[in-house]
Amino acid sequence: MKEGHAIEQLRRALRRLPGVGPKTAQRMAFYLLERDRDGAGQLAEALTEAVATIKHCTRCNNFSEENLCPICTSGKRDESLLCVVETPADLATIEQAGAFSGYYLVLMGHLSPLDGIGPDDLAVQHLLKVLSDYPIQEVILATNLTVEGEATADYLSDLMALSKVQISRLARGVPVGGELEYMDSNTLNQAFSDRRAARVELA
Amino acid sequence: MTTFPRRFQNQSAFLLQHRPYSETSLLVDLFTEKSGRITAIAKGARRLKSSYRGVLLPFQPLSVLFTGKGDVKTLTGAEPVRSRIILSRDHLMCGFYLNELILKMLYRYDPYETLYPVYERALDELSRKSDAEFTLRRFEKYLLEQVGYGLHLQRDMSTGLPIDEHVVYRYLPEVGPIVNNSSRSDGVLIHGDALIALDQEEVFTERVRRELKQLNRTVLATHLQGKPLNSRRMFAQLYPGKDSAETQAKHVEF
Ligand SMILES: [Zn+2]
Repeated sequence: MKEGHAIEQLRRALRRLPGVGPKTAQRMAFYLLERDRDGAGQLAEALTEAVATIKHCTRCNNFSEENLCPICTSGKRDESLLCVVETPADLATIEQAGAFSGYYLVLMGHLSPLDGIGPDDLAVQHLLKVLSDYPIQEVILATNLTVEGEATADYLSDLMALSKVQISRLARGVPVGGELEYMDSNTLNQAFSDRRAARVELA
Repeated sequence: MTTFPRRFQNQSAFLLQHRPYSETSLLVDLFTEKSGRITAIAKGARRLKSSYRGVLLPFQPLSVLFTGKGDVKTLTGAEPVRSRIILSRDHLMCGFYLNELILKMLYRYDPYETLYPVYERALDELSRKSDAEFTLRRFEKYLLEQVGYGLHLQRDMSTGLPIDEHVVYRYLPEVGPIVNNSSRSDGVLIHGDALIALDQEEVFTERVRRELKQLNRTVLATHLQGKPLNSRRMFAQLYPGKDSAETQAKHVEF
C-alpha cells in the first residue's frame, strides 16, 4: 500500500528528533495529517529552506544564512575577547543576558569519550585558525560545568597553552539569590575552592 | 518487624553515563554496589529545580533508590554521600575508560559486589594522580575475574609449574600462560616477572608496564567481541605523546 509507506516514512523521519520515540512520532504524524495540514506544509517548507540556506558563520561557526553572522558583522564587539561555547543555544543565552561583548566561537558540542566524540568532531581547528587570524588577547572557556564540559575546557586550555593569549574559565559557585542551606554539596565545594578576595583596599 | 526487600533499600552507586530522555528527564546507567549495572530513568532530572541537578554526575559517590520490575528502572532518589571525586586531564580520560569497560563488559542486573570497591578505589587513586597504568591494570584484572574470564597469573598452564620470573611465556587469551617453545605464534609474549607483578600488585618497571598493557588489551579484546573502546581511542587522540594509561591506539586490533 502506497499510503502506508508514506506514513511510515513520516514516522521514521520524526523519530530523528531527539527524545522522540515511536509513540510520540506516531502521535505527531497523525496530528499533522488529521488536524493541521497547513501547518504540516509550512513545516515542510521551513525545513527545506533552512537546510538549503543555513550554513556556519566563517568566523564564529554559529548557524548563519550569510558567510558572516549578524554578531560577527556588527562591528561593535570587542575584538580582543573570544568566548568559546558548546552550542548555539549557549551563545543565545549569553547574548540574552548581555553578559559579554566580544566575539564567540561555537564548538558544536563537547568531548564525549564514551560516545567517541573527539576533537575532530568539534570546531577545534576552527578555534586555532580564529586565534591566529584575529587580535585576540583573552579566550574565555564557557563550556558547561559538567564533567564532559570540563574535559573539553581542560583539553582546549592545554592546546592553547603555548599561544600568548590569556585563558580563563567561567567562575563556579553560588547562584544569585542562592541560599546556602539548599545548595548541593558540589556547588558549595566549588564555591569554596573558587572563593575570591574580599578585603577592601584602604588608601 | 518487617524488613524491606533489597530493591527498596538505599545503596551506593556511581553514574556511568547519562543521556537526555524526553524534555525533562535523563536515562542513566549506574554501577550500584548490590545490583551491579542498572539502567534507570531519572524523572525531571533536567528541570532547573530538580534535586538531581549537580548530583547525578560521573565520579560522584551516590546513595540511590530505585524501583521497577522491567529492564529500565525508575530512580526514586539519589544523594551524594561524599564530595565528588575530581579527575582531570589524562586521569579523567582513564575514569571514562573505567566507565566504558563496566558498560561494555558487565551484564546488566548481575551483582558485582567485590568489583564495586575496586572501582571506587581506582577512582580515588586516579584523583590523586596515581600511576594510572598500575591502577587501570589492576582494575582490569578484577573486572576480568568478576565476569568469569580471570587472568591466569600463577601457573604455566602447560606444565602446571609456578610462574618463573626469568622465563618468557606465551599468554593465550583462552588458556593462560604457557612456556614459549615457539611452535605457536598467537597470544602475547610476556616475561614471568610481569605476570608476578600483576598478581602480587607490585610496582611496574617500564618493560612490565608495556607487557601488561599488551596482555590486558589482548584478553579484553577477546571478550569485548569486536565492541570498540571509544575512550581508549580518544585518549590516544587527546594525549598522543603520552604513554600512560591506554594509549597507542594504533596497536589496538578492534
Ligand atoms: Zn559569526
